[in-house]
Amino acid sequence: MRRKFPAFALSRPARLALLFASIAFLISFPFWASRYWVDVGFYVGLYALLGLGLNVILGEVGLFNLGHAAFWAIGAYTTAILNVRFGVPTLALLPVSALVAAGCAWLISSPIIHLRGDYLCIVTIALGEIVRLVLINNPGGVTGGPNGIGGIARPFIFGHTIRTPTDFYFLIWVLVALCALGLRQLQRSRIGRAWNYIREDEIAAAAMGVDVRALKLLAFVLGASLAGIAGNAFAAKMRMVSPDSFTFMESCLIFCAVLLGGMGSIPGTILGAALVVLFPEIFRPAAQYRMLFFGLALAATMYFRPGGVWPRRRAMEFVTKER
Amino acid sequence: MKDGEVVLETKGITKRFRGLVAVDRFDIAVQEKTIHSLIGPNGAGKTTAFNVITGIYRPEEGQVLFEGQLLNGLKPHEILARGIARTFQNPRLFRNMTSLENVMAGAHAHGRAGMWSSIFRLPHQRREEREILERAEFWLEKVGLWRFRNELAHNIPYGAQKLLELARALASKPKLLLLDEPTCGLNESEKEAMMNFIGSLPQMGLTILLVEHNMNVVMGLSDLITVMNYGKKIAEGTAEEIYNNPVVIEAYLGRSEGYAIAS
Repeated sequence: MRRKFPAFALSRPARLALLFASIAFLISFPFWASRYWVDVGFYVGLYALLGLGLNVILGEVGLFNLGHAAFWAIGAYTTAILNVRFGVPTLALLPVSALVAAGCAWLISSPIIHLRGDYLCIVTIALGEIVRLVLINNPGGVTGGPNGIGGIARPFIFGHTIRTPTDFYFLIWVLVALCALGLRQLQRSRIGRAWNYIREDEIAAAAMGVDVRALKLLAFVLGASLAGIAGNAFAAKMRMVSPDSFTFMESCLIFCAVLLGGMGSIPGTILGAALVVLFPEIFRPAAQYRMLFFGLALAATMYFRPGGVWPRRRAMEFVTKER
Repeated sequence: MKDGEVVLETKGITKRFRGLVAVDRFDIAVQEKTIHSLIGPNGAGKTTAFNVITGIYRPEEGQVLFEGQLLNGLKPHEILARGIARTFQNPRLFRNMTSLENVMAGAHAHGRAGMWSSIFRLPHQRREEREILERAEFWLEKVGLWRFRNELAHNIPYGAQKLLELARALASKPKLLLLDEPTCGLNESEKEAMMNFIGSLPQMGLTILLVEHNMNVVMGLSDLITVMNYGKKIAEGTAEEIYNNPVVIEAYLGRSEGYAIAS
């Protein structure tokens, strides 16, 4: 593999310092940035959440899923339908959206989970499109067709209604932080290692006692449930959902976020999400050439850092005593 | 030779790939705490037999019995949990993971912790992780790869990769270990170290089924040798019996003179 820049490793204190600096930046951001950029910050968080979910599937286990937006859509529509039709509070639907997305993922992926590489990729593209088309066709009159569903109630927590961009900014980033924390614990456990064993060599993993099918399914279900959570937050923020939001392009962007950041890396995925949201914003002055620059920036990033902007450094994780 | 209980027994296993019969009504009985070698010319079906025993392939016919229990239809991970571990001819390591993590894979099957206990670091999960780490460290040190513990598996020398795969298999606490050409590609001193290490395993209570092309290794280590050709068993006996068996010489050496049996 081509490497233009030497791999650099930060020492443990340096990494902690960077972590605290990032947290301080994220907390202070809405207090000095404009409303517009706080909104952009929300979208970075949203894509980070979606990226973290896909990272479990794509980054940890190596399953090519180009239909991740489908689970996002399922989460968003679950929130919209149950809130608008049955008046369930929006925030209370957060775990429900996660569960429904997870359940759908289990149903959808069970028969296809044994597929490998590009075959799985093609099937997930189809699934993403099927979900979107089903939403457009308004089965049983529940999804509202191409117009979607509007009038979703604002979420409230402890008597405080979440309404401003700043409120939503904090909502999404708290969710990102909690998910990132949980996923980090999983990475450094027998479950996370088993996922990586499958990614590295499926046959050897099976021969070493890893239940490949069960762990692949777990990854798919967990990744989809994070997308379901993202769907809930998205529906709450937009106050309406429509099929246009969940196109194949969105699945691609989430895929890019994981690839760009570094497959299997949690900080990398968050950074990757920031890049896919920020690149088009930065190139806004270029008007109609915006997407061209966006594409060039993606290509350049992969050229200079083929392993991702912030790959996971495994060797530093086990600090074993000298013998 | 020692007379012990039969640990692994195959009865008439057959594996076909389209028209090719790779393993043809093959029987083998491996006795406890012995080193049993499986030899034969290239393409004789040795590796396929391994893949049938470890559940990677399903046999069309025949039975695989381990400690008297039928293994047919079990998945590879279930077979490992019963106590059969293996290595591969070309090391199949988890290349982008550290040596230590590779060996930890062996301990995976003995763990119970699930997703939630891993996220919340429950006490039993912490205990289990500590045990996995300790066991991996033990075997890594035992095969002499301690200095590579934090190196990614694809960055360590080939000989070390072979040993790493062995350590990974041993960390699963197997009763039976299937080794597919463990000395292939090693230099003389590495070969000798590998031989000595394998030779010491039966004393630890392990049974070894060995596929090997290097006749010095086979003759030096084996309690019993089974010879395969065209998927069939053509001979079985001690090193000396095989050495003098005309059928074996014809099947084996007749095709490729210069093979190392004469040394």
